[in-house]
Amino acid sequence: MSNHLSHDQMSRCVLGQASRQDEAHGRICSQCKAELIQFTDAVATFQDVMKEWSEREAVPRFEETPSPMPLRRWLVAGVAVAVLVAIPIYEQRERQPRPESKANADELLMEEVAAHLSRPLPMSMERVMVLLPQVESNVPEREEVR
Amino acid sequence: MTEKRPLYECMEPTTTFGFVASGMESPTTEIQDFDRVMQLYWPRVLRFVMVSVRDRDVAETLTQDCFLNAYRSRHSFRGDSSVNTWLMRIAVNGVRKFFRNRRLQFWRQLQQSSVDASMMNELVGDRSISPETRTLVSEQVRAVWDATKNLSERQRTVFLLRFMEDMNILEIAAATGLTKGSVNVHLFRAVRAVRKSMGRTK
Repeated sequence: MSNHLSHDQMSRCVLGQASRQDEAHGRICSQCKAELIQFTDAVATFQDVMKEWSEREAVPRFEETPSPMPLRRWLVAGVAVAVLVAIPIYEQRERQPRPESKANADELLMEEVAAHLSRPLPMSMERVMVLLPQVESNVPEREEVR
Repeated sequence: MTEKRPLYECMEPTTTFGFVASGMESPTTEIQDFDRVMQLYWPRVLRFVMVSVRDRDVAETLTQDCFLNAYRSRHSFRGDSSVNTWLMRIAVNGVRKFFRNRRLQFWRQLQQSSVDASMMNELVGDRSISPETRTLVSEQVRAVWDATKNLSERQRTVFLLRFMEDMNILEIAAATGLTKGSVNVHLFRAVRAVRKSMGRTK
C-alpha cells in the first residue's frame, strides 16, 4: 500500500481542507509536494495570465447618453394631448349649426312667413274655402235651373 | 517607468462578501459612481465570462449585458454583498442563460474545438520573457484551460471564482446562489477533475 497522498487527499490539500497529517505529508514527501506544486503553479500562472489579459482589454467608457426614447415619448404624449383636445372641439363644432345651414333655415322661415302672409283668406276660413269650389260649381247649376 | 499594478491588488477583503478597493466607501455609495465601477470590475467580469464561454466576442457581449443589467438595477442594490459579488452573480446568471440557449449549442461546440489555439496566443500575449519560459507558461495555461473545459458549468464557475477571482466560499455561495456545502462539494469535484485532467496531459 502506498504511503503517498491519494487523489482526494491531494485535492483536499489544494483546497486547504486536508487533515494535519495529510498536510504534513504534503510538505515532507517530495513526490506529493511536487504534484501539489505542479497544480498550484499551473493555476497561479493561469490566474496571472488571465488577469493580465483582462487588464489589457479596453474598458468601454460608460456614458449616460440620452436615449431616443424620451423624444419619442414626448412625441407620443403630444399627439395624445392634441387628439384629446381636438375631440371635444370637433364635437362642439358639430353640435353648433353651421352658418350656411342657418342662412338656409332663415330663408325657409321667411318664405313660410311670406307664404302665410300672402294667403288670400285667413287661416280660419281655409277649411271653408276647400268646400267653396264645390259650392260655386253647384250654384250656377241651380241658377240655370231657375 | 512605473509598473502598472493590477486593480485587484488594490483591493482588500471586507466584512461583507467580497472585496472593495482600498479607501472606498460602502457598496451602496460605490455603485453610484458607475463609471468607476466599470473601470474597476470590467476586467474581472470579462475574464470570468471569457473562461466560461471561451469566445472573445461572446464574452464581451455577455460582459456588456452584465453591466447594462447592473446599471438598470443599481437602485435596487441594497449593499448586502459587495459590488464585486453582486456583479459576479449577474455574470454567473448571464453565462447560465447563455448555456441554456440550445439554439447555440452546435455553434458553441464548433467554436470550442477550433478557436482554442489562437486564443492561447492571445491570452499569453507578448510577454517579455524567454522562449523557454513562454513555452512553459503556455503549457501551464493550456493545461488549466483544457481541464476547465471539461468541467460541468457549476464546477467551472465555482473553480474560476475560487482560483481565478480569489473569492472565498461565502462569496462564491452568494455569487452563485448555492449553499456553502454545495459550493464545497462542487469545488472539491472540480479540483479533482482538473488535477486528473492535468495529470493526463502531463
